[in-house]
Amino acid sequence: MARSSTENMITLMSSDGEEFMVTEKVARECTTIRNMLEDDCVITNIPLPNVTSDILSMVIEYCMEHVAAAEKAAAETAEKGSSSAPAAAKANKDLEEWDKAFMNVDVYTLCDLILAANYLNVSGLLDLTIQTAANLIKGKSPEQIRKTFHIQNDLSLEEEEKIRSQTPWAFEKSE
Amino acid sequence: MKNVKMHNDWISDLHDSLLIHILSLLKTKQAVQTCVLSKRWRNLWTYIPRRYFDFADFFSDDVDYDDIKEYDMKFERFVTAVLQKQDTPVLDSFKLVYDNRDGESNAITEWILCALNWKPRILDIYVDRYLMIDLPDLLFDCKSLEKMTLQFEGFVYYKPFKTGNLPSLKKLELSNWKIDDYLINILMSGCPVLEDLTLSGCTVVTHIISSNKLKHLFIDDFYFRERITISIPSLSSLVIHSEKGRISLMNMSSLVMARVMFFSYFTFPNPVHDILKGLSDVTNLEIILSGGIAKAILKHELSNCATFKNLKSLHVDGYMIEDFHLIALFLQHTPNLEKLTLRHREPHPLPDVKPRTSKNFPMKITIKRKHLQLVEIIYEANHERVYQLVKILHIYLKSIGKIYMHLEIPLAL
Repeated sequence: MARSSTENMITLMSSDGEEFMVTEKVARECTTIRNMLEDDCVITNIPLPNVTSDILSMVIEYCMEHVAAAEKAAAETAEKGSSSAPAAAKANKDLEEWDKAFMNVDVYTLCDLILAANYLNVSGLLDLTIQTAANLIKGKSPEQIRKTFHIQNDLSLEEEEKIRSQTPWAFEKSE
Repeated sequence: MKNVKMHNDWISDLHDSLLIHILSLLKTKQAVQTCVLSKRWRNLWTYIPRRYFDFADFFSDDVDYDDIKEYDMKFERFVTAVLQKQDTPVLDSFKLVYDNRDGESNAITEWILCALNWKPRILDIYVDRYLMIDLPDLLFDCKSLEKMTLQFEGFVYYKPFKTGNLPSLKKLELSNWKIDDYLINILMSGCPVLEDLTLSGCTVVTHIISSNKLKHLFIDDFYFRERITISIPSLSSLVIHSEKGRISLMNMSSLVMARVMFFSYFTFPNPVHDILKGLSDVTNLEIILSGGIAKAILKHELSNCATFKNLKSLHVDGYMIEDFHLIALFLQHTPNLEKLTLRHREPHPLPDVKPRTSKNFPMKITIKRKHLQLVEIIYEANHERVYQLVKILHIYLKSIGKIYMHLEIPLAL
C-alpha cells in the first residue's frame, strides 16, 4: 500500500528533546506505543523519556524496515493470489541480512538497544538484540567475555579461585 | 548524552530479567561459566528457566576414543551438579543431547527424573548411544509437559512405559520407537490435548492410527510390517515422507494440507498406497514422486478417485515433466485449482529416450479452466522440455494466468 497523505502521523520525542515524525503504522510496531494509542486514539505526540535520540532513530529505522518488508510481502501476495515460495524465502533472507547488518554496532549501542526494545516492547528487535548479545558470549572464555563487554571484575583473585574450586565441574574443558 | 555513566560495564546494568534472557540462549555449560565474570553475575545462571546439556561441550571428535569414559564422567558430574542447583521454581525447558556411540551411561534416567521435579514445559532428549535406557514411568505421568521430543538413535534400548497421563501435552515427537497398538492406545487415551504428532524412523507394527483430536501428523522414514490405516477426522495437516510402507487413509474430512510420497518400492499394479481417496477434501496438496514407477502408481490411483473439489494449490515434485498425461489427469480431477507448481527433477542417470513432442500426446480432453491463475515450473536443466511443457499447457488450458519458471541448479553430490 502506498503511503497516503491521510495516514496518521505520530511525533515521538526522545529524552534529549529531538522529535521524530513517523506513520502510525511504524509507531504501532512498538507495543508500548500501540497500547497508548489504543487507550487514547487522539494522541499524536508521545514523549519517550527513557530513549535518547540516537537510539530512538535506530529503533524507528528497524520498525520502518520491517513494516516495509511486511507491506511488500502483502502486496506480492495480493498481486499473485498466493505468495510464491522462492520469492518469500528470498524476502525473508534479505530481511535477515538487513537485521544482521543492523546489528553491526558496539556493545554500548547494543545494550541501549536492548533497553529501548524492552521499554518500547518491540518484540522482534528485543529478540534480535538479545540473540546478538548471546552470540557475543558464545564460545568465549570468562576472560574474553569480560573484555568484549568491558565487564568490571570486582571479584578478587582469591574470590574467583574460590568460586572455581566450588564449581570445578563447570570449568572442565573438552580438550 | 551517552556517556553519563560512571563506568563502561553497561551490560551488567541491564535488569536481571534481561541478563537471564540472554543467558537462556546459551548452552548450560557456557551459562554456568558466567558465574566468575563478577559479583553481579555470580548466581544469575541459577535463575535461567532452561537447561541445555550437550555432550559435545565436553567431547570433540579429535579427542582419543580411549578416554571417552573420562569425558562421560565429566559430563555426568556437570549435569548432576547443575540439576541440584536451581533457583527457579519451574523449568521452562530441559534439553539433553548425548551422542557418541561408544560411551556408556546409566545416569539418564536419574536426570530425567530430576528434570521432571522442576515441572518442565518442554522436554527434548536426544540420545545416540549403545545403551539401555530405563525411561521412568513418571515421564508419561507429567502434568506440566506441553512439548516432548524423545529421539533415540543408534542402538538405544528402552522399556516401554506402562501408563500415560500427559494432560497438557500438545506436541510429541518420537524417533526410532516401535509404534505398536499398545503405544498408540496409551498416546490417544493419555494425551487428551495432543495435536501434533511426529513419528520419525519408527518401526510401525500397529494396523491403525485413529484419533479425533490430532491436528498435525508427520510420518518420516518409517519401517512397516503391514498395511496401516490412518483415520483421523480432526487432522488438518498430514505429511508422509517415506519410501516404505503401505498406507490407507480414511475419514480425513478436516484435512487442509497434505504432502505425500509415491514410490516404487512395490511392484505395480499392486497399489502401495490407498491415499488419494482420503485426500479428497484438501486445499493444498504436495505429491513427491520417488522412482520410475511411482508415476504409474499415482496415475492408477488418480483414475480411480473422485475430484478434489477444494484443491486450490497442487505441487508435484519428481521426474515427470514430459508426462503430460499425468498433469492432464490432475487437471481433470481438480476443477477449482488456482495454482499449479511442477518441481521437475532430472533422473540420475538420464533415461535414454527422446523427449516426446506435443503431437504424441493422446489426450483428448478439454479443460475449461477458470480458476488456474498461476503455474510455477521449477526445473534443474533442459530448458527445451520446459518450453515444450508450457506449449502443451497452452494447448490444453483455455487460459492460464501467469507462468513463472525458475531454474534451480541441484547441489552437487
